[in-house]
Parts: sequence; C-alpha cells; structure tokens
Amino acid sequence: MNEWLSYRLSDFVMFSARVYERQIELYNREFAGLQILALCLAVTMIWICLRRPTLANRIVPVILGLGWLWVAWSFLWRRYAEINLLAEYAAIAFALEGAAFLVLALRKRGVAVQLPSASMSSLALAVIALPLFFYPLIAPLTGSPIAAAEFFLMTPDPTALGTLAILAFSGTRLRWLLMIAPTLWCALSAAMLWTLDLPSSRVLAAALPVVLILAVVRGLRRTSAASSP
Amino acid sequence: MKTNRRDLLKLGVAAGAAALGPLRVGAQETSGPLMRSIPSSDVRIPAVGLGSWITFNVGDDPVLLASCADVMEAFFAAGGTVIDSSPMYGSSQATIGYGLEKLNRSDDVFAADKVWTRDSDAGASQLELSRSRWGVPDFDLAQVHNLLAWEPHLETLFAMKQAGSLLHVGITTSHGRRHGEMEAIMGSQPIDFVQLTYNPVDREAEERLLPMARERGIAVLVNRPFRGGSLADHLAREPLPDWATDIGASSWAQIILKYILSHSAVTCAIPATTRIDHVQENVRAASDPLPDEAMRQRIADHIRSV
Repeated sequence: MNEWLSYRLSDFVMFSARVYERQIELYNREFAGLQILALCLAVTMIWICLRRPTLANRIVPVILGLGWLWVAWSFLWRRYAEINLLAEYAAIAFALEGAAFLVLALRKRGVAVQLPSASMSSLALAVIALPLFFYPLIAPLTGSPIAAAEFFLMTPDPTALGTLAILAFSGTRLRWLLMIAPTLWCALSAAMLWTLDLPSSRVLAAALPVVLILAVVRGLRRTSAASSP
Repeated sequence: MKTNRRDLLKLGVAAGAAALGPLRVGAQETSGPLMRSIPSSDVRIPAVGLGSWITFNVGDDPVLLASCADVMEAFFAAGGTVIDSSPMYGSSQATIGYGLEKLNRSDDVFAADKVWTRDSDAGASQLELSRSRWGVPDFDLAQVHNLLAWEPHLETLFAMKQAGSLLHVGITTSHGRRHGEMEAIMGSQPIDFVQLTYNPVDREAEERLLPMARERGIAVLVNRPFRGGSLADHLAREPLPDWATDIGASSWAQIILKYILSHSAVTCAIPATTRIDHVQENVRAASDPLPDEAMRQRIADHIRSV
C-alpha cells in the first residue's frame, strides 16, 4: 500500500504534451472533412431535440452510439493506444457504451432527451454548447495549432463531456448507468492531460463537476415533480 | 561473414569480444566517452546511455520519428551505444527500431530491454516481439521490469543466456521502490545487471544496493538521473556554481551525471531526451575529471539546498 502511495499521477503518463497534440493533428488530417460532418450531426441532434422530441428519442441515441463506436475504433484503438496503454481498455469501454446507446435506440421509448427549450438557462446552454460546438476552439485559443482541435463525436474528451451534458437532460432512468463511462473517462483524461499542462484539461476538469451537478439537480427536480400531488 | 561482439559473446569468448572494444564501429576510447566494464562479461560500454521512457513514445508520427532518429544519430556520433527500453514504454521500441534501421546501427547498439508481464509463460514471446520491433539480432541485456513476476522470468532469461540468444540478464526498479527485494535477488541470483534510480537527491541506493553490486560484480544501470526531467528543470533556474568547472561540467545535467558516474559501482546512466544538444551534453558528461568524495558531498548538499 505504501508503495502505491509513493506514485504520482505523472508516473503513469507515458507520453508528452507535444506527442498528444500531434496525434490529434494526424487524426484530424487522416479524417479531414469528418469534422464538418460531426458538427452537422451535433447541430442536427440539438435541433431534433428542440423541434421533434419524439423523433429525438431514437435519433439522439443512434448518433451518440455511432459516435462512441467511431471514437473507440478510429481514435482510441487505432491511434491513441499506440502511445497510451490505457487506451485499449478505454476503446472497449467506449465500444460498449456505443453499443448500449444503439440497443436503447431500439427500445419503444428510446432515450428521452428533454432540452429546456424556451427557458433554457445560460448555464444549461453553456453546458451543452461547450463540448458540442466550442471545444474545438480550445486548441487555437490557447496557442496550439488549429489542426489539434478536438471535436465532439471525433475525439474522446468532447464526446464524453457532450454525452454527459445530453444525458443530464435525459429522463430515462438508465441515464445514471450511461453516465458511468463518460464520467470516468472525463476524470481520467482530465487528470492525465493536467499533468501535461494541456489547457483542455482545465476545461474538462471544470466542466465535469458542473455537468454532474446539473444532472443531479435536474434528477431531483424531476423526482420532486413526479411525486407532487 | 562479419563477426561482431555479439557473435563472439554467444560463443562465450568474452575476452575476444572485449578486445574488439565497444559495440560501436570506430569507437576510440581516447576521444570518446568514459567506458565502463560489465563485471560478468568484461564487455566495455560507454558510461552514458540513452533512455526511452516518454521521449521515444511518439506513435507513428513521421515528424517525431525522424526527430527521435536525429537524437539517436547524435547519440551514436558522440560515442554512445547503450539504449534502454521496455514493452511498457508504448511505441518506444518501434521508434528505436525505426532509428536503428534508418541509421544502419542495428549491429552497433548495446540493446537493453525488459520483460514486463504478469504471465509467467509469456516472457520469451514478449521478448521476441520486442526484438522484432528493435530489429536487432539479439538483446545484449534483458531485464525483469520492476521485478514483476521475477522468478519465472529470470528462469526464462537465464535459459536464453545459456542457449546463447541473450548476453546479459538483469532486474530493474525505479523511484527507489522495492530495494529490499532487489537486494535479496542480488544476493541469490547470478544476475549481470541491476537497474535502479540514483541521483544527488535519490541516494538510498548508496546505502546497500550500490555497495552490494560492487561486491558481487553486478553492473549498474541508473535510471531517472534527472528525476524524469523535474530535477534538471528545477535546477535550470539556478546559476551554475563556480566549482562546476573543477569537474569539467558546463551544465546542471553534467553535474548530476558526473555525480552519478563518480560512484564506483555505477556502470552507466541512461537519461532520456528529445533534444540533440542535450544528448550530446549528456554523453560528454562521461569524461574525466569526475568528482571526488568531498565534491560528491558538496554536489548533493548544494542541490538539496536549492
């Protein structure tokens, strides 16, 4: 036990910040164009949630499921695992999460997502917009090349954070189960990237508790509303 | 057919192999780095090698692979030969293999790698996979990484050495951990090498392990000489003391390396770097004069005070 206490988190991070950013750059170059598709899917997802909630119950889990499977294979398994031994296990977890979303999409009720359209608070708006639309700006705004930008449904950090944000507005009782993998990933990735002094780690570390608190608050409100006479 | 040190050592001709000089074509001991003998084989290796933890884990990035090969080229040009890696280091083994092939140095390197698996039966196959990634005919040194499943793995490595497919066998630890267990193995197993953490701040090895290595004729590789870079980064803010010139050091990195190498039990320090100027500076530290006992104490005291 004492031996384990002597380890620091940085002892387990086996690559440098430059190598991590270069992996994102190479990945973006390899799949150039898909970033636009990913942004379009994110916009579509939000639009359907706001305008076609019944359809969203199936479309959202399908998009999330395919996104998690894509990140598992294209980034974690094929690329990140080259430099991070944990990425292989993460790829399996991402694949299982993606499969879970697809299975849930087949259910009669799908995965209900109720975005607070008319009275959407600025906090709720920020929680959803950050991972889905503004995460790619972190790299260029903090001095990294724009080629190292990370996109929702393309790289694991914004995908996991965005999924948590969407699940925070979900009414399905299974949301807590679905939130385990993205929560663990966000915590692990934030910690690893923090040791490398990467700015995105600060964003991830700050956003994760906000999203989780929002999910808990909304869950309590929903329970309270359901039990009121 | 070209006969090199590996061929001779496989045949058990240690003296003949030693006479060929270091595992590097054209090495001149008079102008190159300080050389140290491996007690069990009399093979001589430069006293500063090259580690690969983090620095060589660059995936398939062509730009960073080329950059690592440049570092290796500078390392070989400065007289270095010892490169150390592990299956635990991500893509580092493949990066080394890329560099060795690009530089045509596969026969010249003193290749040190590790076995790192809990599976008692997987040692030999893991080592073979590592060897293919390096692209070398054999490993000069195979070590049990962090003493993980050391008993079955040492058995495997000793059998490979007996069969002539491995030249030296060792064990490793780092961060000052499990020194008691390492001492017990050093006392009971016929190992050729130990690898441990040692620098002017982490000096626990001076108490028992280094004296024991000297006494039992076990070569010592020193990892984390700069504490993973943090010690050198911290000291970089401090001016170089006047007495640095007394030991021929022109940087904090050289002071640290000279401190390490001045311990008579140390065979080779293996700092890792991504920079050509740093690798040249590191290898140059393997040179006389080295600090005497009084200067060693002064170095340790000074570094601790800052």
